[in-house]
Amino acid sequence: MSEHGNGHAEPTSFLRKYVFSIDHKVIGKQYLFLSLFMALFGGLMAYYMRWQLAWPETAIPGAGWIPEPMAFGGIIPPEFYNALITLHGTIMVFFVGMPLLLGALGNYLVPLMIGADDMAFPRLNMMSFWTITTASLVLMASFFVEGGAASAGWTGYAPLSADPIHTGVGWGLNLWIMALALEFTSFLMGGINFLTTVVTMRVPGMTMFRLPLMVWMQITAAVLFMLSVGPLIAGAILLLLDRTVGTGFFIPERGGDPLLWQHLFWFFGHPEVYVVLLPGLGAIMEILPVFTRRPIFGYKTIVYSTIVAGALSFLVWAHHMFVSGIDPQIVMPFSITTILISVPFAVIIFAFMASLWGGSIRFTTPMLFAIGTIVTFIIGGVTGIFNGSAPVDIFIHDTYFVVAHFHFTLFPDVFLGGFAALYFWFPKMFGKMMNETLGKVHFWWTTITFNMVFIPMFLIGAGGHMRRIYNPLQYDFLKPMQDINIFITWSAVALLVGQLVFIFNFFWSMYRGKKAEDNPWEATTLEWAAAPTPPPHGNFETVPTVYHGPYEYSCPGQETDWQPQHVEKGSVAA
Amino acid sequence: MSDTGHAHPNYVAIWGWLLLLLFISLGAVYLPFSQGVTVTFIFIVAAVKACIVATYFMHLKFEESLVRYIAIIPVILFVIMTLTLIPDIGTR
Amino acid sequence: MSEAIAMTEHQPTHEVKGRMGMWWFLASEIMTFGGFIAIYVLYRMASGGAWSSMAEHVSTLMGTINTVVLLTSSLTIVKAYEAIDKQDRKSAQRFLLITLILAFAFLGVKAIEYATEISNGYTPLTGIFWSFYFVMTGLHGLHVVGGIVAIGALYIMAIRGTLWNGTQKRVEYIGLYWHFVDIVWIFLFPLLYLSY
Repeated sequence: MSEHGNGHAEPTSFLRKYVFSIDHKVIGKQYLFLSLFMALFGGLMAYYMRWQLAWPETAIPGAGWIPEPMAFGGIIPPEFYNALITLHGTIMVFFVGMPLLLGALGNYLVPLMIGADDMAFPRLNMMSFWTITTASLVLMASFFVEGGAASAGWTGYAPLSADPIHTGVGWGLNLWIMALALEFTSFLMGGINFLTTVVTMRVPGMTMFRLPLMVWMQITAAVLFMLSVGPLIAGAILLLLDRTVGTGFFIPERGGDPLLWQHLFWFFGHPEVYVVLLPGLGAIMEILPVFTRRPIFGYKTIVYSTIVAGALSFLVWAHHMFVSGIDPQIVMPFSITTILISVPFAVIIFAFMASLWGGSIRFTTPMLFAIGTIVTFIIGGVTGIFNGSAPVDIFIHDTYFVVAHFHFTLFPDVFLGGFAALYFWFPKMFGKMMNETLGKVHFWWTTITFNMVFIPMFLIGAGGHMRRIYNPLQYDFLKPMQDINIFITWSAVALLVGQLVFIFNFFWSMYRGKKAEDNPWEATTLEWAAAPTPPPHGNFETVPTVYHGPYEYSCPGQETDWQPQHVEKGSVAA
Repeated sequence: MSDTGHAHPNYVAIWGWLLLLLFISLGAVYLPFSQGVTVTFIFIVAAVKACIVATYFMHLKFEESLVRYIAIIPVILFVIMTLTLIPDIGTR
Repeated sequence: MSEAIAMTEHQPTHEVKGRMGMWWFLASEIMTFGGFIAIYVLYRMASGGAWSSMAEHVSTLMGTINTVVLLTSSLTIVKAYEAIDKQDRKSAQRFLLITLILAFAFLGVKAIEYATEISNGYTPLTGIFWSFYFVMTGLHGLHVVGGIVAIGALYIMAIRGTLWNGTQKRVEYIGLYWHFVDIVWIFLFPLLYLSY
């Protein structure tokens, strides 16, 4: 595609083609494999934690290989348990959610959806992937340094994290900070790339309000990340200096203020939640119109709601800190903004429901996962209202109610939404169809066991079960709830084992699956309708011109019930 | 004459204004006002200097509106953040 | 936003992409330095004037010299951009060289300042004001070093005669970065040198 865009030639060597590739499609797949690989670690850690909570201080089956002093014959000590909760959170948010939804889906889809031949800065794109790979290695290496891995929680609250005397963790936590800093750098590079690509590289006719909603979600997420991470980078540099040089920015004895770390973390942390959330919802927005055969309800309403939610997300951060001893004057305003932010999301969810209404729904695997995402996400969103109301939050803060709440928002988004996206775009990525029967088994198994894990957590949370504790049997008032803990653990094991179905389906279909046509789902957006399967280097044979919006399904008077974006109405689809 | 599509202002004169403002803020330190007044004044001068650099040297004046938003929104955000944290950190 | 939408009518050039990318990068940089400045201001408010005695020991003279140096380097790089715009290769090359010299001068003054302070016993561990002083000026200094690398690369390209034919547009966005470094210093100067 030398006639438009970057004009870099197709590489021929193996190294340039598959390892240090600057093709956005290859980089997207690299992100995909990285995130799935890290998800295995995150899941394994969840299993060890759950076993410890159900049968405290017994030998965990499958943990015998962990060397001392992390575990002793499969029995994990409290220090390692703390490292597990820290790394589980860090990995799942920063090394699974973001690489999967922004790295993999964003990289693969954004240029294809806007008709570009590649990203605006292909070399920067390659660099951002190798930076997060380095970050992952640094993070995993932190288990093996003296003192073990970071164990101050994924939020790394100071002064627990600011001085090694509190946790006994030395370089493990320094490496954790460095891994996060590398991860932030990687996604800053990615965000600059996405935004520049969308602003400058849309094909003729692709106006902002003709963009597929996935692209809108990706750029909103990139803006949110870019504007929120700066203060935390500043804070992380200061925290690292506290630990290594001996300054006292977050240590009260030396004139610092530990509460500031919480503010900086959550000023980033809350927009970050939406950075992960929006691309997952974006996948749902692409899938709904295709399998209902009708336009999405309220395109512009969704776009404006997203922007409002993004802007509000900068003004809600202190709702994570209602019991941290913050000034009572700012509690009420943050409670109000938190409840306000549910309005734009409610609008989006209602738009989803209205999109289903009256459609001729095709219950394929991606569609099932999309509906599953919406249903479970509603539970997560509604329980957020409880946490956001300061008086209720004081009771349920730091209990399993909160754990259940954020798993009900992030799991549907990252995993159910991610699976929906993978089943949907797998044919375009790998040129093969995934097996539908296995996909449906995977869907029902995952959704049911997920609910079996996390609905009981609301119960024990309301019963006062604290999060991040090592051994619930130490507390008399938690003993009657131990049977629920055991039930949760068995459900979690079932949930994790069920993912083997997906792993098998994924790799089996890649080699043995039915060959995919160019547009197997009969979709209208450019990546399906205008690009071959799988797209070649440079993506499109000719630069497409866009004539109308992305979701023109069931238009009266047309030959087919889908009208590709690059085909004018009235003309015959090519 | 130029292929950027905008005229070039007299950059040396702008540099002169910046130096003048610098020496004004230096002089303000020696005036017999209270610390609060002096600090407020020198930060207003600093903000004016920053605006001049952004407007003319970084030619924001000639940019499309999107670029101006990219430059202004982060500034607004960090001011909001600072103001919100005053009751919690600043006047603890 | 309307101009941005209209931009799809023609294919973008490298110049449009580079400038847009640089501005997005600067937006994230504003938030990072903004974070430092916010933390500093809040802590200083909380300290209730206890820092003034520490802040008296920085050298306002050195700080002023460096401010003048950096403001002037901002002028020279924008003159280089103007010269390139007017196809005047010779003066563009000369202005890039002056910018480079001024950037090194800034670092030189900063090094003398650090050496004097440390030999007088003011290190990052002396007190929280000094911690902030060294971290903030140090990070700014790293940005100056980054600028030197970028401007140096442009200058070498200019000597070799490869800075024309499209690549000369880089002077514009490296210039944007350099002005940003200047703006950060415009705020660091009153924060660290004048507020006692």
